[in-house]
Amino acid sequence: MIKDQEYLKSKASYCLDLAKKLGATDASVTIGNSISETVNFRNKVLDESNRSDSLAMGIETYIGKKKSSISSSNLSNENLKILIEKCYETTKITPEDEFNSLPDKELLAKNIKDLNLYDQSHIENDKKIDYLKELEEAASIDKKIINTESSFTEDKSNFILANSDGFCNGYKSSSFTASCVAVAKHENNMERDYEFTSKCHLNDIFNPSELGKIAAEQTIKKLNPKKIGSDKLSIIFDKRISKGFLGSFAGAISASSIARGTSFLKDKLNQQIFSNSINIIDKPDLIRGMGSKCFDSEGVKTDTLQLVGNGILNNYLVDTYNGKKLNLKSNGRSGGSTNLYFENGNINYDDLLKSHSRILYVTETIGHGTNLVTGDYSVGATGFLIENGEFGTFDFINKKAIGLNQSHSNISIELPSDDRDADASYTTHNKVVCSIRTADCMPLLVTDEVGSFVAAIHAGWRGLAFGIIENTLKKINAKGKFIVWIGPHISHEFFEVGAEVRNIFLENNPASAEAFTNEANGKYLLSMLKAAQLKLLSLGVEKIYITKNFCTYKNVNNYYSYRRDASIERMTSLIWMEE
Amino acid sequence: MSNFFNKTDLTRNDVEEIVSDTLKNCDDGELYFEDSKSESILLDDNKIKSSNYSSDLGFGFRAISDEVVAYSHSNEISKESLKNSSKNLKSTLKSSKGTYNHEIPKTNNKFYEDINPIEQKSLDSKLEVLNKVNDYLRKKDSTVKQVTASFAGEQKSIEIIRSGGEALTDVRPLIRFNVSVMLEKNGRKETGVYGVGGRQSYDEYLKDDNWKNVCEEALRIASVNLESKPAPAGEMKVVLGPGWPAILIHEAIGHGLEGDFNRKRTSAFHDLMGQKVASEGVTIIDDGTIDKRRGSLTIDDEGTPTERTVLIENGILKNFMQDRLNARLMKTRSTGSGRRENYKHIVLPRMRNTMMLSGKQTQDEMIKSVDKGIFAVSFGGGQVDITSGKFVFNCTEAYEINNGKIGSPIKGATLIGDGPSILKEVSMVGNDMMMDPGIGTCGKAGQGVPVGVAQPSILIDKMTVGGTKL
Repeated sequence: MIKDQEYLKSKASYCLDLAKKLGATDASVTIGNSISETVNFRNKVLDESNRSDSLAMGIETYIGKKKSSISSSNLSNENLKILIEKCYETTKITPEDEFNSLPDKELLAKNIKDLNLYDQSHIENDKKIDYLKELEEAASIDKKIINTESSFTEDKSNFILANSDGFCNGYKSSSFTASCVAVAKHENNMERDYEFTSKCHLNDIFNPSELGKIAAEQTIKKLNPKKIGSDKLSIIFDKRISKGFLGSFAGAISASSIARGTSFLKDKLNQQIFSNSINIIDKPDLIRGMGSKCFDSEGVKTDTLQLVGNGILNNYLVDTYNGKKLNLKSNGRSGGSTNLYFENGNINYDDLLKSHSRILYVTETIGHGTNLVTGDYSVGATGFLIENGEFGTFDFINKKAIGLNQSHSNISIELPSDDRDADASYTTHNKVVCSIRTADCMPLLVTDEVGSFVAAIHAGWRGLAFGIIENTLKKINAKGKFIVWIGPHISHEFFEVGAEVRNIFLENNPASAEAFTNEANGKYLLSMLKAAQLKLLSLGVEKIYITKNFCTYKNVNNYYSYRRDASIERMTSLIWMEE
Repeated sequence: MSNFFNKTDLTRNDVEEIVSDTLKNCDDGELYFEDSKSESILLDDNKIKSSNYSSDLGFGFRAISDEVVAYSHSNEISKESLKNSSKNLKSTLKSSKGTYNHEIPKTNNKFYEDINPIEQKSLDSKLEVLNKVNDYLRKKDSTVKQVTASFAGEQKSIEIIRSGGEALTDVRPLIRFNVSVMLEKNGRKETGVYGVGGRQSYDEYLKDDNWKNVCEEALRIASVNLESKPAPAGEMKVVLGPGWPAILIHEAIGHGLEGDFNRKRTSAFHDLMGQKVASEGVTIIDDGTIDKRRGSLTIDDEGTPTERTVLIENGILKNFMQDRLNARLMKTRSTGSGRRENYKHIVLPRMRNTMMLSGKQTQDEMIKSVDKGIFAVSFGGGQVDITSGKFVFNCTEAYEINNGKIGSPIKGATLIGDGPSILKEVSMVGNDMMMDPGIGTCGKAGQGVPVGVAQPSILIDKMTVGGTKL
């Protein structure tokens, strides 16, 4: 059980009284207790369990402008007496510092709001284990995942901050954290990634299978990375890590760094330091906020601060000591920021991805290359290359894969071209790779017996009905007989459509009735394969190759299927001519 | 030596009984007592900014059954507290059916003295040196705008009690002295940082000339950085200087060769034992037995005496670093590499002093052989992803090499490499092996432990440099 306020207050009083008796003119003390229970899993079995119960105290004693401090985990009155005496003796010989002082009395927090930071729920280790079992089951579904490690920690703590000016306050807080790291392997490449959830209240944490699923997906996405050449590029930082900038930013605007002159943002107050679409807020009173505080580490009250407004630096993070050096009042940020965030901007995610034709999308950084003195930034990065708003386009050496802005149209374009609005492309150039994306729709790759051209067609039902295939083949000057490969798509068995779809097909091509079978409920099952074959035969194409086991819906482990999973992932089909 | 329970309601007999009873069906485990005292004194912005003393006392009780580790720790040393921990461990491992391994090697070696560096020298003498440092640097150069200097000292006493009553003890001193200087010239600011340390008394650094050397070095690095130009970007040859640049080894292969990652098969090295992982001529050891070094230990934190472990010999992977748990599961022996930050943490295989041994060539030869590349002398920190094998580290002092000659200094850039392949790119190994000055801390799983690194100058044929000059 966590020590209660009474116990902590009595220890605090003991320390302050002792310091005063010895002759300290001021003193400030923090007493805390925290209890933590962790269970770790690995490959779906228990790996480690850990329980900790720790007490801590820290006291600063002042003799006028002289100050020193001690801390300890041994809270027996006998030990406290020895340490505080030692602290006092040290203070006597520590030189004066004109800026040493307790905070201004008027700035001390008076009304302590209840921010609901403490959840008294206790989750037994057995239940933690159940959570982790479910989490790792979900994370291990895909066979590419070869290792999973997960952890569940329940933390409870209580503290008191008291000083010789009469401030004496503290409160309980709790946190429940679950995390999963997965390792995926493909051929000789192994990669790892993670997902986690951390909340003040047990009921707010993520559902374990959701957590496991995301950890696995993030990991698999990283497999078989490629190096890109040195380049100057626009960069998007994924929101999972973009908050890393806030940590560095908070360090650069701490009154300590500013006062010492060791921050690249020194002298930048009220100046434009970000673009004017950026607003950064530090909000201490979020209910159940993981960074919420009722007062800072000196007891000063905390109010919401707009650190950056329209790109302009409005505030530093100020404590008493460094504030005095800068002629600024403390704004309740001794100990750092609270809940620090970028406000939402105006651009939606998809538009952001399309904002430049080539963007480096960073999902992880590694290394400690942030220099707050110079503002230089150099880190290792992992991520994806986005081209024309699409992730993961291949970048072959000497060849350029060109993806299209697919919209289920019946438009085909000849490459190379700046135009991208089409659902099929064709080319006679051997440095161009025709590429299309599908996840149930039918991909067709086309060439001829002498390899005089290549074409790629994205055919959903709409494309098939409105003639994407003939609109492509009729524009091509093939030198030999056509050869067509039909790739994985949703099969007749699982592709239910309404009567209006059948009507559209029949309007454009009565013969396509063959591709539909009735169902009892008035709907139809459409065989896109049949529809495509009929169309190809009518165009004189005889050489048609079809992938075995082509159904994307049925083959859960091999193919993405929009109808099955509503997934945003796609498969790419590419065709190009070698030299 | 501390007696951890003379002020409590516990007798040694009580303790031995509780330990043996708790661990009777386990494969391993121990009760770890720790009493540590530490001080830190900081001079900054022209004054003594802080002087802090702290003392921490507690125990960590560990029970291991097969692969599962149960752990309970507390500050409170009493019969009730110990019994609560025991109950907690027993309930976690309730179906355990192991056989405790009582064997543990012993040693008479000692790599440092039984001293308390904090009490040995008065606070006054330390304050005096810090003030001298401040005056010296600010008078030396008008571009000096900020000086920070600090002393940190610690004495840690441990006692490990195993089932059956076997007790192993150690008393460990540790000190550090750091100086950081910030210069400002023509609106441009740059820093230089240097520090020294080891398991010895402060005497080394309180003697007149020694602290001046540290100041000069910090100033020199900052001055070089004031002239630095944007670093080149891309793959190129890199010459690394001796000493601290060995964090390359620490990040590239050190973590990847820790026993737990290999037992769990998450390290990129797990299936490479016996294979060529480095150029011939590259030999790397992890040594805990060097006198007075920061990364040395007489016994590790589960009682095993440390040793000089050969990790890679002439390019061939020979050994992983093992603690007792991973050694047992991998059917090999502990290399005395089981460490923990303090009583609040479990033991994990960790590095000690990780060192590449000298070869035959000279730094001069290496520089002359490079047409276009960089020469990196000093580093900040690094980081590694042991699964993918990718690692990074940041230069804090580096130069261009053009046509075999050292050119202008370049801004700190991140160097990126791949662990299992980087050492195969080492084409020259120098004859000038140097240890780092004694300030390294390695982080893993939330635990920081003091470590050392060492290497001679080396030439790497291909490394990616994260500069800004394309």
